Amino acid sequence: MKARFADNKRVSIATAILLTISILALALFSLGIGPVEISFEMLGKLLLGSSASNGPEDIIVFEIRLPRTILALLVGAGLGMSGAALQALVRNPLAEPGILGISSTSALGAVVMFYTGHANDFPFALALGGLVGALLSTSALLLFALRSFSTVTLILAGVAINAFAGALTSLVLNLSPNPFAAYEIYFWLMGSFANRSLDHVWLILPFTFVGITMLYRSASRLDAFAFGDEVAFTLGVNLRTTRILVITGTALAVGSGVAVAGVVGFVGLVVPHLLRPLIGNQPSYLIPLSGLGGGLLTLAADTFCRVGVASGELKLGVVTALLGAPFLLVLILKNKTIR
Amino acid sequence: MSSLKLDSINVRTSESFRLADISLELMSGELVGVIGPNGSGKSTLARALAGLVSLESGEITINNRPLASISNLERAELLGYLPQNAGFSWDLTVNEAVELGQFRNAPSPSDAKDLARALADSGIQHFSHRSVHKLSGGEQMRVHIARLFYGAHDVLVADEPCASLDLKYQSQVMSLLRDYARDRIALIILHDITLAQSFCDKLVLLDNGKVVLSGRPQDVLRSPLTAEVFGVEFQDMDKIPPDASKQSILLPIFPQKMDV
Repeated sequence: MKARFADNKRVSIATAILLTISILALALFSLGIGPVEISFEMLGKLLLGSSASNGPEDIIVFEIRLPRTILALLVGAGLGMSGAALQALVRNPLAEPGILGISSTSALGAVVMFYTGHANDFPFALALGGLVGALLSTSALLLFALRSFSTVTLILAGVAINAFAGALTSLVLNLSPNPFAAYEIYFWLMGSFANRSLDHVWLILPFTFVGITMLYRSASRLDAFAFGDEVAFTLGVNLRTTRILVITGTALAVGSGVAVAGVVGFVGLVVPHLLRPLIGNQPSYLIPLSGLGGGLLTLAADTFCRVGVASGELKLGVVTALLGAPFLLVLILKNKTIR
Repeated sequence: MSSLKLDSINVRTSESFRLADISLELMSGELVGVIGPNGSGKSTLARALAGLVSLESGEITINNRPLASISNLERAELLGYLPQNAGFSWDLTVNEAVELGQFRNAPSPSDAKDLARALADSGIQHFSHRSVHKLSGGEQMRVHIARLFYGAHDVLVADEPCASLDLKYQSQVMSLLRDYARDRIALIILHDITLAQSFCDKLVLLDNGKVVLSGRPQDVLRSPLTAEVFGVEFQDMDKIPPDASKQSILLPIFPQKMDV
């Protein structure tokens, strides 16, 4: 069920190769750089398993840096793909995972764990709260998606859920027992991969994997939305299946990301826009490549968070917004195809 | 030989009937125009044929198979639909847009040849790599029609394909649809009576969701019923009586074949 779209095929394949190479290069660089520099030679030995030492390098790479790198790639891929898929589904270039309220309900779930004092009860309490939050908002959205024929209804429901979750988060901050708890919540909301372990990776991997697979499966169906919902239907696409794939896929990929890393803004919005001038608008190309682009951008931002400023670690959400927003402004000025 | 049959179909919204007891039979080789005042149910009829609104009663059959029993993909094979105010959700090249006509099928070796022919038949082959957002309204409509050509459906339903096009493009688009209808079924919703008279083989007049009249264009347009439904008089351009009222609609004579 997929056309060939020869006009953008070659450049898309080239872009995919380039992004993959950049990701590998940046991943190696990010594993090596930090307060303790680790040479490429040493990295090669560690990663290929030929160095059996349990020295400090081993611990730094496998227990501190590698989990961050993997998480950044997973979370970034989920954000990029869901941004591209949502922009196609609702046919609006402003759409991003935040618009459906999934990020904010996931954040709310984690914040509630903070507030009720359960955040440190067991290792993954926050992540679990986040996942529950994301699943709740997804169930609500699916109710709308299954009952209504219109995409606008779906967006409005998402906007309402988003606003409600935002209000509840503010309420929790408002009622927080002491200023330190409020600070803790506030900083957590800014997003970070600091101090995450491989256990966090294993916790979210199944959710992220299923989410990313669903988004990937939605991609070629979304091609048919080029003429709107009704024509997509007459071209043979099942609108409900497509919506379920995009919404559930976004919820799983983004919800699990927020659950371990907090809210990482701007990646979902900006990555598809960065890629469009290169590879065009076809969702079957844009969605998978936005996964690669999202992973690359998030890893770059996280690496900058770790080593960019000498005086301490920056918050990821701050850096992605600081990098993303000016980029988007320049693109809008230079490229009139963003409408 | 394909066929499209509507057997006393009824469509209703929560408060009222939008289509009441419509029966029609269409055969290939005919370009059928549906006319009627605003709100008469023309677009609802087109959307019912496309499977976008469900019938309260009655049955639509394509090639003697009930529409309700046909799967999404099979229906996409049989029927092509062009909605009112058709546009593009995002920018694509002409090639990419037209290729979506075969969205339901896996790529096949004959695709390139068929695509080239659909582009040539619609007269858009010389800008097949241009972006659709840079085309004029008439060119964009020809891209939509090329998509339907490439889809090679048995039945084509188009809702006001000529709305907001310049005169030249109106006749271009109508000529293209006429070509399409040569060996297939084409049902076109038209707002413009003069286009309907000039290009269609058969006209169906709707009013209040009912078929008031159907038949050859010259018969339908000269019927007093049509004048009553639209609330105006129709006059042939070459037979204007000296005392003709200024409120008459003149029916011009379009050339039957125009260069595309």
